[in-house]
Amino acid sequence: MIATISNLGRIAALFGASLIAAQVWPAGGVAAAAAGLLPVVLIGLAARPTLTLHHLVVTCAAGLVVDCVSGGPLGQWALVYALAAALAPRLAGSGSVSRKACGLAGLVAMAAAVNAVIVVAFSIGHLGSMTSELHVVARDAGLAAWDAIRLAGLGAATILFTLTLITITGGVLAAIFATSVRLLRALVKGPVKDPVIGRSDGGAPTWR
Amino acid sequence: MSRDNAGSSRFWYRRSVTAVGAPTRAFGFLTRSVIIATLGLLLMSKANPSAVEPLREAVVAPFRSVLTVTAGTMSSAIGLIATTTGRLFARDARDRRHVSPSENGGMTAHIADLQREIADLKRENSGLRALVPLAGNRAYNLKSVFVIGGSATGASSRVLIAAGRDDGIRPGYPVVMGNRLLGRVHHVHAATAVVVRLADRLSRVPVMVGAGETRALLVGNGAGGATLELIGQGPAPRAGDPVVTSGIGGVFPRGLMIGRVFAPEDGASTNAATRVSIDSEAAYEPVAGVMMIDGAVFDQVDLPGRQSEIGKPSPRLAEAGARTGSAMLSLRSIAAGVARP
Repeated sequence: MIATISNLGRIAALFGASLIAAQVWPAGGVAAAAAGLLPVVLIGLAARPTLTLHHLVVTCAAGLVVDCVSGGPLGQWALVYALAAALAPRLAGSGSVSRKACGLAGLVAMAAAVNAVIVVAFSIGHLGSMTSELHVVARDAGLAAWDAIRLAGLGAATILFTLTLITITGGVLAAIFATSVRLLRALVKGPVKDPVIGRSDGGAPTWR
Repeated sequence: MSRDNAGSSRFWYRRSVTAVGAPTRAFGFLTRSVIIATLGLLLMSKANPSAVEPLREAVVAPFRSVLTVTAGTMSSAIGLIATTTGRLFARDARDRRHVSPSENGGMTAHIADLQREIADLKRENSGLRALVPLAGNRAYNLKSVFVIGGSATGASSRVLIAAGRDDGIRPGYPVVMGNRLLGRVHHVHAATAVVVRLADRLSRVPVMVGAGETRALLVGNGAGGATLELIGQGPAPRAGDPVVTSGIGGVFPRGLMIGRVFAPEDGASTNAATRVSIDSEAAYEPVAGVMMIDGAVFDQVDLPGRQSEIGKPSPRLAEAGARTGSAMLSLRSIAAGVARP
């Protein structure tokens, strides 16, 4: 039951993030790049050592939603999210927390890079249909590549910085809460004594 | 890494299982199939957009009302966050010197609410004032349309609007925000339409610079802005010169404000393909609603007569025109951004 609710929550979060990506910043820029990568973060956070069928299907559906609502080329974000879902178990699905964090950063960077490649490929294709002057295509493709890489990098950096900030803040708040609980308990029940292992009458080890 | 390990690493997904414990080999095949399918969809949307565009309509149309509501909610939420953030930064310790903290907090919040309300009213008033000359002109038929989605993370800068063929929208219709040109309708579906903004790489708008003596083509740069490709004769553009639509081609009405020249290129002249950056709010501002101009009137503009106003097109445009099979590229095709083979 809890697992079902958890899965439904992940699905809702993924679709919510997809809608944010397509609706919040239609004007573009770093914020739009960060919003586009937000579902990738959720995919990475929900990753497990084994890739499940519903995870892959829901991820692709979320990407398709972004493509349909964004007005851009169909398949752009669906491909990025599908690749992220396929690589998420490998990168961020297992290991320690630090390893998962590194995997998540790598996953976001990979998604940003794939999106940049798609953008540049489309740009070259469009310019190639407008002119056959190679230097014009090369110059504009270079500008498009620089813009795409810059936006993708800044978007990834923004989202990872935000995640780090949330993690640190959460850690600090958790530490403060734990310390407060210990202090409160000490005030109510007195100092906690170290357990001493003793022996029962029968000779078995006991706590006292 | 041993050979076995390398092999297992390469085909790691074969160890995966589905939620129901299906064989792993089939699941690896499914994963690859999904990735290939999305790649195929991407290539298809580039090669033949009309073949995959019905998919967009099929997905979006049933949820149009939901998307409209969520888009409005998103805009309100972002506005609230921006207001709250601004309020936090605007607080000054001096304001709290002679009043109690709770009283000060209430007053600050009240003032911030009033300021936000004033700003909203000013913006609305400004937009309405800008539309007065348009509404007074009987040649224009304006329609108000909600924006339900959009994206600009690369070469494309587009928005999806909640009106389509059933609402009388047709490809090429100009879209404005206030008195500024936002873009034009590109794809039209039954209930929705895709608007290409000025910053999109597909965007091509014939414009006049400065006093109207310099004619140019405004080309989206795919990075949140647009550049001018100067054509014909006229004085070189200077920083701050206004850029308005020229009306040539009949797709856009004459005199719609676009922006101002932001950064003239060193040694900019009226030679073909000279690039000039444009500072256009409409190119990068987020939008929640737009106004559509019925383009039927502009179809009556006499194209051959207008062509003499700008002289010969640039070699690049002429070449593009030649690739479409005509001796000279139709100005309507340039303006509509359909200069593709």
